[in-house]
Amino acid sequence: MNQIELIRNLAQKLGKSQVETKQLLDSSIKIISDIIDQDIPLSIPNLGTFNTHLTKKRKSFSPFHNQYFIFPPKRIIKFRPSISILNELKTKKIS
Amino acid sequence: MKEKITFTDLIDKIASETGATKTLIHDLLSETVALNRESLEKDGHQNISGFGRFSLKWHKARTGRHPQTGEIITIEAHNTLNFNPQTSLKDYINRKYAHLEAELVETKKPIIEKEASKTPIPGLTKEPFVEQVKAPPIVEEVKAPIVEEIKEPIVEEVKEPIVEEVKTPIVEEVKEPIVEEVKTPIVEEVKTPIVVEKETPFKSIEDEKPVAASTQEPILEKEVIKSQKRIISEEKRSPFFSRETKKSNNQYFWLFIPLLLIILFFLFWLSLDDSQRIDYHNTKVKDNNTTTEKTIIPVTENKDQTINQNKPTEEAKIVKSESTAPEIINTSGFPELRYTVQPNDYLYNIARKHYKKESLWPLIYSANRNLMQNPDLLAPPGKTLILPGLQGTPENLSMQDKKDLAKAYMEVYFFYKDSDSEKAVYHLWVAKKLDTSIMEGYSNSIYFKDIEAVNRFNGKLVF
Repeated sequence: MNQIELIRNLAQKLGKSQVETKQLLDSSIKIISDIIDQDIPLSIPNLGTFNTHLTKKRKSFSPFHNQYFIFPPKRIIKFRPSISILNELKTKKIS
Repeated sequence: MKEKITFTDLIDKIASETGATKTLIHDLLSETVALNRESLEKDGHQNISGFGRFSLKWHKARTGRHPQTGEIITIEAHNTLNFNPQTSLKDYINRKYAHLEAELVETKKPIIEKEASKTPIPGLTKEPFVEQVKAPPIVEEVKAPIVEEIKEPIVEEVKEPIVEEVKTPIVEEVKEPIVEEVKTPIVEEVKTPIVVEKETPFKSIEDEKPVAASTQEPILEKEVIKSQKRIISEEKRSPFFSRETKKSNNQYFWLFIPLLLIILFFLFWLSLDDSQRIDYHNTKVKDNNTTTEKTIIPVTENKDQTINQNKPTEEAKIVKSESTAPEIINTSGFPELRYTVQPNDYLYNIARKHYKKESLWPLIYSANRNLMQNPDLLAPPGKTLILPGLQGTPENLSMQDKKDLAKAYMEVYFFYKDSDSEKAVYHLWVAKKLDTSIMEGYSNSIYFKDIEAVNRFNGKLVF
């Protein structure tokens, strides 16, 4: 399901126009990303918990440059799926 | 402890910022999650633009060890749900660290040095090259050969005439310059002894034995030239160069062999006739004339002959085998072939292999209706299928080919029309696109609803 199909289905279920639903979805995604950026764990029921983690600077080998580099610290997003969605999708093999 | 935002807090925040009702935001988020789950069940992934991509990853069953008890346990096959944030989100989160860049670590022995020894390109590696050139092994190496080489002929020459006067100048002349030669540039040094050697010994020898002198003159010249060449070559050869040139020669040698083989094969291929070439590619004939096995057997057709008349430049050549095998005729169109079914083969794949076009699979289906009824299920492996020929090429189908293909699509429609209406309508639509008058012949057996659906259907067809 791509973004257009998602918005179309959402608009049908909410009874709103596709433009309105798109605006609502975009603004809610922006707020969610702001919350994640503030380093606050965000849990959405039936989906999971989003959290951030700061990695330290590290020394690593770059095969492209054939040299060792010290890479700076960066923040990564960690997602922990909820148990309900995991149990539902655990045994379904998707070809 | 970090503070945690619950779902209700999130709804409140979004509702306050967007101005929408809380129920609407609740419905929006819950429906989004539900659709996400549906998509994950169906496709295995869901992409939300501006946020990220949720994807399922299947892990096979494996044996593991219990971390506490140490017992060997079997971990069942299962899915894991992963989330990959979009680059925009990653950049937004890491905007504080955007100014930081990766720093290069200076190691004592750079790794490039190792590579330089592998690849014989002196321009790339500056440091090792300079160090190795500086080393002065040239002086020692040059001294020995020059003195020996030049002394030997002179002493021999002097012994035979037994002239005392000759000895003194030669030894002095030769020794002095040679020692200097090694220190100073060689080109100048070598020139001076050559002149002396030519003048002094030959004057004395010419008086007594002119014939012998004339024979020795070129030998001396050659030896001196050889010594010159050796000196120059040895001077040029630093230890670095000597290794690299050997390696580079080896490399070129190994590159040269496959090139030579390719050229030989190309010449061999050129030497073959067209007919032989076709045989070589298309048929596998055993050595025995009595038993011939052919994987591909082209068949002649009247249609092909008509095309051959129209296109004399692309006339196929007839190849007659010595045994009782059937005649192989390669036409300008696409020949009819036979194909043995292999495990996990489908009509779609066979059409892709044979015609290089998947959409021609109904042709194979219609030609082999006696072997298979269901187009989704192929005949069991080992059976031979007829791959019908084409007048044109798969890329440019002729009118007759399009008509045949339309008929084949109609056959597929008749199979699907009761079981799967969507597939049936699609195949009917393709048949109509290929041949507009095809539906007139089957007007009694086509459902009216399908005709209406075909008229409403808007799709893209590329033939």
